Amino acid sequence: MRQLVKLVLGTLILVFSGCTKDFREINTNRNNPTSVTPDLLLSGVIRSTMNQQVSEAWSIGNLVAQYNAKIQFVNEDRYLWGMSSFEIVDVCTINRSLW
Amino acid sequence: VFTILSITISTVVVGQTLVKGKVVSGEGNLPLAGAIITVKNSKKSVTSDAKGEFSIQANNGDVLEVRSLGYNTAEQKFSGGSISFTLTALSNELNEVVVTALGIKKEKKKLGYAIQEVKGEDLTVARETNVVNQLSGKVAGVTVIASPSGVGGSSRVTIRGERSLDLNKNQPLFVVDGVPISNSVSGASGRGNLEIDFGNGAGFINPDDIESMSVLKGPAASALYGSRAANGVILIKTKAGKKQKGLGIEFSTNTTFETPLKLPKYQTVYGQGNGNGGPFAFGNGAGGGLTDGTDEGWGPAFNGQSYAQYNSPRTLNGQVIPFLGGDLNAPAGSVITPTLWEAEKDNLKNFLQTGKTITNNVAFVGGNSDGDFRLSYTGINQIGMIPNTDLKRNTFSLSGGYKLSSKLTARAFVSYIVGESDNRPSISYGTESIMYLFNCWLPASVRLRDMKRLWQPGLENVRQFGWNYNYHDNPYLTLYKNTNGQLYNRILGNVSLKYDFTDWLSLQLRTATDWSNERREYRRAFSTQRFPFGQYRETNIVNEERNSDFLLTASKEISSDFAFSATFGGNAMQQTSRFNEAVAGQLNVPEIYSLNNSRIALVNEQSKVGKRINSLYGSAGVSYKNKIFIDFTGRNDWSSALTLPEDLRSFGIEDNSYFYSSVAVSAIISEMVNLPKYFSYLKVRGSFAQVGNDTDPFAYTQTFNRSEPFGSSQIYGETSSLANLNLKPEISNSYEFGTEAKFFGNRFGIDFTYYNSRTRNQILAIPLSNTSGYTSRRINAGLITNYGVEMMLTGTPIKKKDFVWDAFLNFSANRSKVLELSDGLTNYVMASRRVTVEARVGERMGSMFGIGFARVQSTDRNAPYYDASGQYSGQMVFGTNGRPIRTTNRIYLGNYNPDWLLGIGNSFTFKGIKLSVLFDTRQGGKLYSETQTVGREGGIIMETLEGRANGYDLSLPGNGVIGQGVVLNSNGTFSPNTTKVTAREWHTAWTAGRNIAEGVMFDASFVKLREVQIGYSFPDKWFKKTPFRAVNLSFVGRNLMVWDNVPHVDPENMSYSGGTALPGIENMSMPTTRSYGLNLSFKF
Repeated sequence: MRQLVKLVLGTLILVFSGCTKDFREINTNRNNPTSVTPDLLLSGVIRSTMNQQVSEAWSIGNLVAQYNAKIQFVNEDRYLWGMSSFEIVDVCTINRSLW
Repeated sequence: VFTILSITISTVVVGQTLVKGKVVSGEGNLPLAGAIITVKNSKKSVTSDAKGEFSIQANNGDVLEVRSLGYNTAEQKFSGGSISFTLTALSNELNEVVVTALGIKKEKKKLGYAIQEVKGEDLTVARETNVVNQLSGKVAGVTVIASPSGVGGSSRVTIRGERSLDLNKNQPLFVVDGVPISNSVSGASGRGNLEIDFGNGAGFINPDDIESMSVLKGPAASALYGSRAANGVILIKTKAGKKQKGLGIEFSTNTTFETPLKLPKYQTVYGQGNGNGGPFAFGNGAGGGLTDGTDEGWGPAFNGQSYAQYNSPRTLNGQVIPFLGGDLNAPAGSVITPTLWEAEKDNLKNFLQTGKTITNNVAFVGGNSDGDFRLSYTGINQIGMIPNTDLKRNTFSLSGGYKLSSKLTARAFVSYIVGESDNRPSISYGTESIMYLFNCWLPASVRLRDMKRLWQPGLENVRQFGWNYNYHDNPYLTLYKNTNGQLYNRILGNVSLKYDFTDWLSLQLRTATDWSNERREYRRAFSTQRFPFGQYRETNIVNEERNSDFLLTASKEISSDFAFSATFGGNAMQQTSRFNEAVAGQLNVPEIYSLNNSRIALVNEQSKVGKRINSLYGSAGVSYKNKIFIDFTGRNDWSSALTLPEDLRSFGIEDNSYFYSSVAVSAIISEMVNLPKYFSYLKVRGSFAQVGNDTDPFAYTQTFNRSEPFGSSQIYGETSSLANLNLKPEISNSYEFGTEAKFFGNRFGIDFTYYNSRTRNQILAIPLSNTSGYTSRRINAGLITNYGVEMMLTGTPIKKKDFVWDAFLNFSANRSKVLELSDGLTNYVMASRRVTVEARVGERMGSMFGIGFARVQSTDRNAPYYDASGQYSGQMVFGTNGRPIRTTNRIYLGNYNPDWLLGIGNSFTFKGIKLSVLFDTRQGGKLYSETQTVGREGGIIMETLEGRANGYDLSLPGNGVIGQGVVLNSNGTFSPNTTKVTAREWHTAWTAGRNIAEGVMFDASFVKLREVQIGYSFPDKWFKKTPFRAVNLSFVGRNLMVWDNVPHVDPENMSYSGGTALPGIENMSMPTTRSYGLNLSFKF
C-alpha cells in the first residue's frame, strides 16, 4: 500500500513538473531556420520578380495586346477578367492553357 | 410518540402478520435494494433495504407485488412463512451499461447527456473495410461521408455539425479502450498531380475486434477528454475473452462483390473533334491529322463512315504491318487504314471490373473467474473495382486480463495492423486521375480496350501507346504502371494495472501507444504526360501518440438515500509525427524505381512535429435514491502548442493552461411520480459543458522555407503568415436537454435531445493586405453557434413467439451559424475549389459561394441590370454574343450540410431467420460538380447533346442553343435573348469557362438503401455430432440502391485538396460501390 502511494506520487511528480519543462523545446520548430543570411533571400527575390514579369507582362500581356491567341481557355484573349479566373484557377488549367 | 403510534396501528390491523422477505436479482442472486413491495389492492408499500430485505403487514392469501426499475415485476401469494422474490432483468437497455469517457462504465440511466452505441455484431456481418462508414444512419446526429476514391478510402465524420473554421478540425476524437488514437489523414498529398487518398487513421481499426462503438455526442459527455473532444468522441471498446462453452474458437468468413452503384452517363452520338463539323483522321495524336490533337467529343456523328484512328491498322506499300495508328514509331511511309467510326458505349463499364473482398476472422477466446484471454486474427483481401487497385490488411490482436490477487488486476490489449496496397488510385483533377479522362475528355469514338497494349512496339517501357499524345495518358498505363503503393504498420495497445484498495476505492495506472509507420512509393513511368522521364518518390510517415494516465476512483453509498462517486486522474499525452520524402524527379533507366536511378538531383523534404498536453481532471457524482443523478467534471490542460519557444518568450503573453468543466443532471421521473400505466420509464436530463482547445504546433514560429533551387542558387522565402505571440485557447460552451421515455412494457422508446453550443476564440489565419508583406495573420476570433435536435425512436411493433419485428429511427437536424468573426472581417474563406467554402457573419457554416448568373432585378436602382418595369425580374442576362453574363462578385450558392438526416432500420425475425433493412437519407445540402463543369466543356457527358440534335450546322433545327433570358439593350431596356450559339460554345459558356458555378450546383439530397441482411441461425441440434455451434449464414448487401438528383456521381461526395477533405465539392469522383455477398460464422 505504501509503495503504491509512492508510485502514484512519483508518477504525479514526473508528469506534472518534469514534463512541462520541455514544452518550450517541443514547440520550437527545428525544421526550418527563423533567420537566414541575405544571399539565400536575394536569389528568390530576383527570380520571383522575373517570374511575375514573364507571366503577367509577357504571357498575359501578349494575349491582351493580341500578339498571341489561345484556342482553349480564351478568357484573357476576350478580356474577360474577374478575380476568379486568376484566383481560383488551378495549376493544371494554367499548364494546359500555356500549351 | 412513534412507538405509541405503531402500537396503535398494530392493534387496529387485527389478523395481519408481519411478513419478512428478501428480494434478489436473477443474475448472481445479488440482493436488490430499493425495490418497491406492495400488497395488491391495498395502499401498503415498503422498500427493500441494502440487503434486499423487507417486512410488511399482510393477510394470508394477499398477493404481494415487487417492482424495481429495470426488472420484470413479480407477484406471489402470501401463505405464511418468509417469502423471497427473484427478479429477472428486463431484456432492454434500461439497465444498459455504457462505456463513457475514460472507459468508465456507467448505467445509462445515470447519464445526463446523449450517448448512442453500435454493437460489434452490427459491424462484422455486412462489412465495410473502413469501419467508420458503418455509423451512417445508425447513430443520430452523425454525418459520415465516404470519400469516393477507391478501395479503403477515407471517411469524414462530423457529429452535431461543424464548429471549427478549420475544415480539418471538425472531426471527433477516436478512443480505443479509454485511450485516444490518431485519425490523421496524411493521405492526400495534393502536390504535382499526386492527390491520393491513403485512408484515415480510424479506418484501419479492425471491426472484428470491436465489442461496441459508443458515440459521445456533446461536450458534456466528452469534457473529460479535453481539447480534442470538442467535436465529440467515438469510443471503441475492444472485445475481451470470456468463459466459453466448447473450445472457444470463433470463426467467420465473408466474401463480397463490388459493382458500381452509379455510373456517369456519357453521350455516344458524336466522336472526337472540335465542333467544326469536319471529318476526323488520326495523324500523330497531337494535331498532325484532322482534329486528332483535341480531346473533346465535339466531332462527327457515327454514321457508318470510316476514319483513320489510333487503333486502326497501318500498312506499308499495301502490306499490313504489325503497327497501329497510335504507334508513332511505325516505319516511315506507312499509312493508317481507316476503320469504322463507331461509338464505344460502355468504355467505363468495360474498364471497371467486379471488385472482390474476402475477410476471414478467427478468434480464440477463453476465461475463468481470475482471467480472460482473446487472440484474434483478421485478414482482409480486397481487389478494387478499378483495375490494379487493391488492399490487404492483416490484424493480429491480443487482449487479456488477470486477477493477480483479490485486489490487483492487470490488463493488456495490443493490436498489430499491417496494411498493404500495391496501388491506390490517384484522384481529383489531372491526367493521373482516370475519372478526369472518363468524365471530361474521352470521346465515345475511342475504343479504350485496345489500349491494354501499353507500349508502342519496340519501345516497351519507354513510349506509351495511346489515343491522344497532346494531353492524355493511356488509362491502363496510369493504373498498371503509375502506381501509388502503400505499406502500413501500426501498433495500437495499452497496458493497465488496477488496484482495489477497498470495495469503494481503486486506482488504475495505464499507458498506451498508437504508433504507425507508413511507407509510400509513387512510381511514374516514362512518357507519361506529367512525368516524361518518369519519377520515383518515396515517403515515410511515422506518427506516434503516447498516453499515460492514472485514475483514482471512489464510489460509496453514504446512506440508504445517497450514493457518492468521484474520480481523480491525470494524463500525459505526447504526439510526434515525422515526415520524410525523397524524390527522384526524373529517371535514367525506365522501370528501375530506386532513388539511385535519379537523373537529376534528389529533392528531399523532412519535418518533425511534436506536441504534448498534460492534464489533470476529476469528476464527482451524487445520486439520490437511485432516481436523481448529478455529475460534475473538471479538467485542466497544459499544452505545449500554446507555449512560446525560448527565443520568443519575452515577446508575447503566454496562455497555455486552460480549465473547463461540465455538469450533468438526470432524473428518473417514472420513479418519482405516478405516470399513466403505458409509461414504463421516463427520464429527463440536462447538461452544461465547456471545452477548451489549443492549436497546431509551431504556431508561434515564423520560419524561412526553402524552395526548389534555381540552378545553383538556393532560394529561401519567409512564411507568408504572420505569427501572433498572444494566442489564447479556444473555448466552446454548450448545453443540452433531453428526455428518454419507454412505453408499453418497454416495447417502444423515444430519446430526444436539444443542444446548443457556442465556440469562440478560434485560432485562425485571417487574410492581411499584401502590402504588409504577409498574406495572413493568426488571431483568436470568431463565434460559431451550433444548435439542433436529435431523436431516436425504437420499437417492437410485433412480438410473437415465432415472429418479432423490431424497428428504429434516428433523426437529426443541425444548424451551425457564424455569429462573429473578427473586427471588420465579414467573411473567411475556409477552402476554395471553383467555389469557396466561406464562413460569413450571419450565414450557416458550410455555405458555398461562387460566381453566379447575372439576373435582372427590380429592387435596387443602382445595381446592374435594374428593370423598373419588373417584367423580366429574375431572368438570366445574356450578352449580345448569346452567352450568360456572370456576376461580378461571388454569390451564395447553397450549403453543403444537409438540413436533416434520417436513418430507418427494420428487422424481422422469424424462427431462426432474420431480415434487416437499413435506409439512410440526407435531405438538403448542395454539391458542386466539377464533372459537370469540365464534362460539358469536353462534350462528353449526356447533357452536351443539347444543341446538336442534327449535328453542328446552325441552320438545321435542333442545333445551337438560345439561352432562356434577356439581353440589355443600348437604351437600358431589356428584351428576350435571341442569339443562337453553337452547342460547343454554349456548354463552355454555361460556366463561362469554369467561372460560373451556379449552373453546376445540385441538390445533394438522397435516399440510400444502406444495408440489407438476410441471415439464418442454424439450430445447434443439427450439428450435434460435429464440433460446430452457433452456425450462422447471411446474405449481406451494402449501398444497394440510391435515389437522388445529382447527375453522374454519388450525391454522398467530397474531394481532397492537399490533404484537406472538401465536403460539398465533387472533383472527378470515382464510381462508388454497391457490395453484396455472403457471411458465414460458427464456433467450436
